Amino acid sequence: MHKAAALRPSPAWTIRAINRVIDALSKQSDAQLVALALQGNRDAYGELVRRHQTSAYNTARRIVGDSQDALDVTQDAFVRAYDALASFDRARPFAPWLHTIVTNLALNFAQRKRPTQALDIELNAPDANANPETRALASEQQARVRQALLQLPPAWRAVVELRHFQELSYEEISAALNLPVSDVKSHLFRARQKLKALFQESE
Amino acid sequence: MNHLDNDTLNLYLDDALDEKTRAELDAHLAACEMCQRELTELRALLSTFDAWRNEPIPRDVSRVVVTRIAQRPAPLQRTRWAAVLLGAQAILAVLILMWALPIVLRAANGLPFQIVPTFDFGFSANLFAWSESLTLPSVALWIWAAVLGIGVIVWFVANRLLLHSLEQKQETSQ
Repeated sequence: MHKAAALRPSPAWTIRAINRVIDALSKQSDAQLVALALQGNRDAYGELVRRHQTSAYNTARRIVGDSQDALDVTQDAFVRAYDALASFDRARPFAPWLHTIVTNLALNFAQRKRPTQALDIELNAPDANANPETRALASEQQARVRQALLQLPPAWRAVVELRHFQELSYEEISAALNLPVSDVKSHLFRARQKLKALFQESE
Repeated sequence: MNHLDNDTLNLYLDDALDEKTRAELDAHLAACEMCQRELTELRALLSTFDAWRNEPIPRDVSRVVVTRIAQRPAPLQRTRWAAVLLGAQAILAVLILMWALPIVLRAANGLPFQIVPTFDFGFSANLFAWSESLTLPSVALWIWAAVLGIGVIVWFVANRLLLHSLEQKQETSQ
């Protein structure tokens, strides 16, 4: 009987009610959604995932390379973040905290997968407002950067991610990756030197 | 001033230098074409990151994540239970310590060093007096070590089982 009920299509009023809940959640701030999720409201957490999944995925993608691996890391990171939600300081923004978790998971994943897998250089979705020539150039440039990034050791990639894409300070990166500040600087400076050399080679 | 090395140029671009050093470097850069070129190249490299656009995620993961977290207890509930569990264990540990310490100290009298209890007050003092009548069974030290080891393992396993049952309870209540 339960099985039959589960197979029956949801009545229109149920769909309307669900849509109302989603609408209401989409108007909440991240901090409010976190508060609701802490009480066990999983739809609120689902809304947080919808909001931050694109940036989380891109963070993972820059470190692990492959898009399917990046999706897996993104999912795992959101589950990990849920488990650790009670330790999140709601006075601070959610995204940097989440990206630290994504970066650490992606780094662990990339380190387990060494040596670096075949480079995945799919082109990004083009900017709809740009003309075709500009779009092609931008995509090509981005693919070149992605390819160069993937030739760095995973730990360097993680530091580049946190410094350039998440805009964290040396001290914040040190805390996020549990590395001494001197190692953060060393990884970052060597990564930039290597990237510069790779770009010069490819020109 | 010598030419700027790679680390100094990086620190300069990251705005991680104190004002005095920065002013000195500015003066050097104004006069040194080679360092200026190095700085420009490094700046151009960093600008490639600024131009980066996020690509769309290939598929929405929110449903999968919500399904996965549905099998886990709510974060605050887990924290509360963990706090209760930890608190109960802490109280139990203190009680065991209060009961066992005088006996252990008495048994240790034969050791080549002296252990002097310094907490002789109120309730615990009475407890010490009561525990004076208790003695440790005279068994080999390795047996005590084995008992202690088994006790620790039981303690870990019991905690794991308790947390696991909490997760199960949460799953069935949904």
